[in-house]
Amino acid sequence: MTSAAVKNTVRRPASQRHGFAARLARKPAAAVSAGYLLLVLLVTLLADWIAPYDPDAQDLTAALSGPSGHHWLGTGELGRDVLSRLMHGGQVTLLGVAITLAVYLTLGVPAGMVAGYRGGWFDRLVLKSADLISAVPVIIVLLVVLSVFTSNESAAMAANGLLGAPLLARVVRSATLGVKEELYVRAAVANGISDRVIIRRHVLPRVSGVILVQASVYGAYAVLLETGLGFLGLGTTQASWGSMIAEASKNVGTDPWLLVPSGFMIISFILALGLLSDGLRDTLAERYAPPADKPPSRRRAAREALAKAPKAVIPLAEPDKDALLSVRGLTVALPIDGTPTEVIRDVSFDLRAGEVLGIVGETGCGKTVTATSLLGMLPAGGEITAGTIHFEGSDLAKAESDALRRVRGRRIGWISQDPISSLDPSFTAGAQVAEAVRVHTGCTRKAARQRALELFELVRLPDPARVAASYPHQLSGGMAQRVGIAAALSGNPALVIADEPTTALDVTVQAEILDLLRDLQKTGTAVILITHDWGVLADLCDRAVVMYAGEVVEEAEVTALVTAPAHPYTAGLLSSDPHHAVPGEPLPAVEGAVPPPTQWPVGCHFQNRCPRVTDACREKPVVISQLTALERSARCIRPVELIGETAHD
Amino acid sequence: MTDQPAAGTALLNLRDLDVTYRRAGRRGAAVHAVRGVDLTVHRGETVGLVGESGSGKSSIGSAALGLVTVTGGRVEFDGADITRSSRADRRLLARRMQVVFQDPYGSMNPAHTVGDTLAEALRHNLGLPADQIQERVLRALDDVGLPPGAARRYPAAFSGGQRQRIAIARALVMEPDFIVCDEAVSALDLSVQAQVLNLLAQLKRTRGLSYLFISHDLSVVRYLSDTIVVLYAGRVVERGPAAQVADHPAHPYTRALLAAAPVPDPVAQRQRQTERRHALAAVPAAGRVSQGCAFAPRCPFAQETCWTTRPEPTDHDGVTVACHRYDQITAEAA
Repeated sequence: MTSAAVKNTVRRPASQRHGFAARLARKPAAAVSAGYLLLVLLVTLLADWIAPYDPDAQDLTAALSGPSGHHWLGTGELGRDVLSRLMHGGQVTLLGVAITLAVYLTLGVPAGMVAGYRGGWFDRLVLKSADLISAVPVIIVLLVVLSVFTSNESAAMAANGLLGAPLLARVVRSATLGVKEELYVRAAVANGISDRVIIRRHVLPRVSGVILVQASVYGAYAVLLETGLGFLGLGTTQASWGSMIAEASKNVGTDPWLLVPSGFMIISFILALGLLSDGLRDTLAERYAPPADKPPSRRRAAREALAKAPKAVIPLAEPDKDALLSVRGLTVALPIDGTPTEVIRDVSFDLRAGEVLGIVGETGCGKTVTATSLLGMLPAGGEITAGTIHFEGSDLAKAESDALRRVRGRRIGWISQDPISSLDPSFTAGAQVAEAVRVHTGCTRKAARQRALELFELVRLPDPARVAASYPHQLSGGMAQRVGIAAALSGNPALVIADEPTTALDVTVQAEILDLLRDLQKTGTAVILITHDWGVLADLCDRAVVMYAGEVVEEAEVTALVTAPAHPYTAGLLSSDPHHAVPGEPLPAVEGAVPPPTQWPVGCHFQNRCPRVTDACREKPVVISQLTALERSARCIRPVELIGETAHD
Repeated sequence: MTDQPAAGTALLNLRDLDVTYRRAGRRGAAVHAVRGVDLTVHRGETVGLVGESGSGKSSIGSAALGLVTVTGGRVEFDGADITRSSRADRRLLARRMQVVFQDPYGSMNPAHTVGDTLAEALRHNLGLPADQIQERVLRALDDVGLPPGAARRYPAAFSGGQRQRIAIARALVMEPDFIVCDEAVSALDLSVQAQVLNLLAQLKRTRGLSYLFISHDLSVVRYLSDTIVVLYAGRVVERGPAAQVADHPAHPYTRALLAAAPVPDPVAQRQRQTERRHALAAVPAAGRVSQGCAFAPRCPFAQETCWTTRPEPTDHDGVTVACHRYDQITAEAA
């Protein structure tokens, strides 16, 4: 159906298709297991040709002897060669496993996916039969089967697969339910794609990891079951791993060695099966999510690599002694694909007591990293590599974690973007805020509860007592954010950092929260407000810093900033705000996107999107400089609206 | 279905639409997401659907697309009743009616290349031959301003704005005449949002597309729409020409929505702070449930009638408003 031409553009590229085996091979345990299982399979299949003896050839003179030159793994009770029996026995055991898995998968997977995807009566049928089957003792069913089909292990193994299938279906069903809610499945439904195609293209690949793990566990169980049947003398009379265990256990007193080869075989086989399926599942999952960030154990390596990297030396200005918070030259590196990469660079600003400072910019510009680094709450592997953070007389950039913990919550409060998930769902709102009060002030439980109610009143929650007794899921977004603000105030902080506190809220609720934050400022608490919304900034902030690609590009009083932006990025971002839009005319958009930290250009970070760019902008890093006449600083050599003012060069 | 449609005729027509969700597990506990909504999208028209979370705006889009079960009323598309259309009918409808979702990260299967994602409906719905699929995919990518090489890459390689362009391209490959944009620009940053809005406006002009544009942001809706429909608690409270509704709102809720949206101007914003405090009742009267207008508990103009009788939508010079106090409020404003 697909021609070669289409394959190249529309289909997955060749390198990606081969990528699966290559990525699996990079997992040593999985690769070794795969090789071992392949070897076992090969030897078993070729047993007729490569086995040194016939599995049933008897040599009574050499019965129950240990390993020797003639019999590498020794002999059994009738002098049969253990190695040959192991090779041939694998055929019986592995055939049993294959039968079990074939029945298990062909019944369980489709049933589970259809039940999860379609729901309805079929779903209920699958769930009920899974419940029913979990109550049936497997061994009794197998005894019945074996009494009908005497010593027919294939029948027993098929019955075993049948018994497991509803349990597999239940697991696959749950996994399918999750995939069904994915937006891309909804998009496919809206596109008129049939359920059959959706299940094949979107659901099956997503749940295959779960299926693999279940299959490997059940495969291992089948090996053990085969062994058990052999041990009970119910299984086959032919050579099999199970019957060999049975034989060895009978002679364990006279020849304990006999248990070693078959025992090792079974254990190693199960182990390899488990390791391989783990590796397969991880490799499959990587297609749906990029590998997680490197664990903190790599921090030292990251730090050393960063120390070696050449960097521009930026002379730090003195902190402002009058300011509550004075940040100078703050530079932070986070591991990106294992390499420490600067994500904010040379960030400086001051905040006076009772002032509201806005940090504005788009996603990926470093607003949140700046805020989290103030509190020492950087993600794993994150490191402040340069700069100072002076707050109430100490440098938080160099503070130990104990000292930071005393500042966090007590002197600097934090309000997060997502109010409901920032609260613990298993405690009431009142209990959580009271706990925060106790941690910060060390008062009694009773006093803490009282203080929590006072805080709820302060953030103007209607009916504080009722809210205190409510769990987070019972609160609306606006109420939850008020609880979040109350918690942030529990330590009576001098500074509150609010990270997009209203982004998740409706606009009418946002207005109420903004009013609340303004009242907070009137009581003398300083606020740092992180936002991407110029309206929110204009509503609340006195001054603002604009960040772009990890750097402060402009800092000014808010009215001056929004009426006469100096940096082309500020100007571009402001003009693309739809509030200024004229219907029917194109919006003045800034073309392109914010470059990720790994792709910051030399020179001005905004150069590739800037309408005023010159060659000088690309030559060397641009320094932030005071534009006294415009009462601001800007990181630009050709600022907008610059009249008779010289920048740094 | 006619081949040469006249501009201005109704394309999507919702009549007295009800959507009710049953809460999982509990029998009988039902959530009325949409109640008695009338809405028409004409050919070549963009209808903006505004409301806060829980107002039912997304449910209306999903009902049109057949993604949720309609519990009452009718959905008509180009004159045909599609309220309970079968999957086979939906397969045909998907060729004319498409969707762009809010989340540019979740709306594409991360394990499929962009080309594969765009080709899916062409291959499995239209059953086109490979060379035509190829051609349409490349043309759609070009239409949204992405290079042909994008087809070979995976969604993870693209930024949010680029992914939303891909999502638009996926809608375009089917060459539809109607697209539901469900918060299609809400997750995007300002500069990128402007790019995508421009793209949508340009596609509307060049292809004569009609949009049902769902958003919580009145300023975005105002920019793109011809008609604005304002929803509150599952009901239409105001409907009219975009400029009229967004600049001179009549319903107290639309007024509150407009007053509460902060503008990027500190001086104007100080004035608006006072206005918005008047636009919403300070604290909703706790405990009392309104049998009439759902907005009554938050409405500064609410009177006893508002609590007891549901206001019917009435026409006032081309704007439909469902408010008992329309006359007094407009008289006060004048």
